[in-house]
Amino acid sequence: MNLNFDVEPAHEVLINRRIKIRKKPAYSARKTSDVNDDLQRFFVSKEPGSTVGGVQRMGGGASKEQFLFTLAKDDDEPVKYVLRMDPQCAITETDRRREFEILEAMQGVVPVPEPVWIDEHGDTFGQPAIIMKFVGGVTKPSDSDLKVSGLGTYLGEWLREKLKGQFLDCLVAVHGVDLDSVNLPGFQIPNSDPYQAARWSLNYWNALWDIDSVEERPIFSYARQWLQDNLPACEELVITHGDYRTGNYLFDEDSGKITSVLDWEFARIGDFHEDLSWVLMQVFGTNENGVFRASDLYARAEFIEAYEKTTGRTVNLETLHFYDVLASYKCYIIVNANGLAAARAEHNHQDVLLTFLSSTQSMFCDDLCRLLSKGN
Amino acid sequence: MTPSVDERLASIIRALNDVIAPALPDDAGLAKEQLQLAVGHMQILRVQLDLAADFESEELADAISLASSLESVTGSTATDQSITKLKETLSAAGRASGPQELRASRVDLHEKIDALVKAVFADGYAESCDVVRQTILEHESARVLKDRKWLAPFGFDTFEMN
Repeated sequence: MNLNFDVEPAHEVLINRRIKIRKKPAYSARKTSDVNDDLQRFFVSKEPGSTVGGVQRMGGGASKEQFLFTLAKDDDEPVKYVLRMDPQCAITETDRRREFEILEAMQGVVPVPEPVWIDEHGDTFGQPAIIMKFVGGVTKPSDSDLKVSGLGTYLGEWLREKLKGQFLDCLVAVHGVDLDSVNLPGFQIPNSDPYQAARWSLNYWNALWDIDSVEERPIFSYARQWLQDNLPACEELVITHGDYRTGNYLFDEDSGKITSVLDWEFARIGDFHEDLSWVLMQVFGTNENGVFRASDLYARAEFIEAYEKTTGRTVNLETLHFYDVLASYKCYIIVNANGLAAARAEHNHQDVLLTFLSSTQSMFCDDLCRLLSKGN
Repeated sequence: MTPSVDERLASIIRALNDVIAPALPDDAGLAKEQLQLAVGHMQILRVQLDLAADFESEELADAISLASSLESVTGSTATDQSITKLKETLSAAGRASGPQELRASRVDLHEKIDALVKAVFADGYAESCDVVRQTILEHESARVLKDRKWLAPFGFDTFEMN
């Protein structure tokens, strides 16, 4: 279908794919033995003479099926890789080709896994997939009992002090990439209309809502209207990560060093405020003794000040407010429309997790009420 | 005497925890995780079972209250048409009975409210836009607290009802 609204062309493809997926039969979690067979077939042509071993499912995450395996050739030491593939329908609708491209582009900019192979259309694996080199590290302290409460990861004082500077530096590095110097053919750059960056994002999420939702919600209806009426102009286009927060980077627990920034599937070219608002979301932070820390690293004002000081940019608080609203709006769509639609259609490998996660929707509605009560 | 739904759920949970879980191989990470979530979900269902009917009735009552508060909004043709449809739906919602009708009525009301929001802002009468904004924020701020309390057993929310 041709969409009659302004959206990034690559996202139009994803929107149409989401519509088509709905007609497909139920999906089941991939069996490790089947994945092993697929990998063997894949490497017959890609790496003749190599041997696949140790295939095992990786835990964590709500959107992709991931498997760890080794690849050995001749007498070389086996190398660890991660196969990251789409289920039939996920809590998000994103593109493995774009993820592959952005991971390539970020080599040497920030620590990221090295993408090596792609099965863009699922010719071998049945679903679109990328294969990356494995990177060690954890997304949260192994003593997860330290978690205070809620969705946010509690890092503790020692890790917090180790990680906060790196966390900021990585984001600043991503936002500092020269768009003319990177090869991102799957990404389109918003044109000279300064409102297009925000409009593309809003329209993409509106389309996903329209495809997957089954019930309107008054605060959401008003939020949609408010967002349409308050699009901010983008003064500087940057690469945005899209899901930047604690939980989406790996770190070495002993040294406190970030080893890899993960989950680039929402990356696009847009407004840096979009990343800042995501970082600052209450749901991804912690509250300890009444003190809120974004990603358990920074107080809100502290993070904004540190970002401004490091980049020399000025954070526009009105623009930030727009993206604060959009962040909660997106999350509501993800858990209430996309996740539940995938589960309802039996199109995911962990429907019960998606249903469980939908219980967070009221927190995002509450965010919308709180944020929109502030006015423009 | 027939077994209660709560007793049946309790038996299923015990079977999953005591028989199925120990039988899973050590490397069946996804199966273990799914099992934990399934058990957790059923435990929450046990807590909510006797409260669900009242909760859904209150959801509809709140939707009716919000819709009623929006009935007096004025505008040009688009708004007037939306108000007419909202009133028709409100009238039908007042006659709803049984869980399915309650849910269907709530969905219908929310759809009409959504249409009204679009119409009012398309018409662009500042006073009406403000009424819609204030009314929705006021009603939804109260409604969402009930939802957060209802969903708190899932453990994601730090919400505590004072």
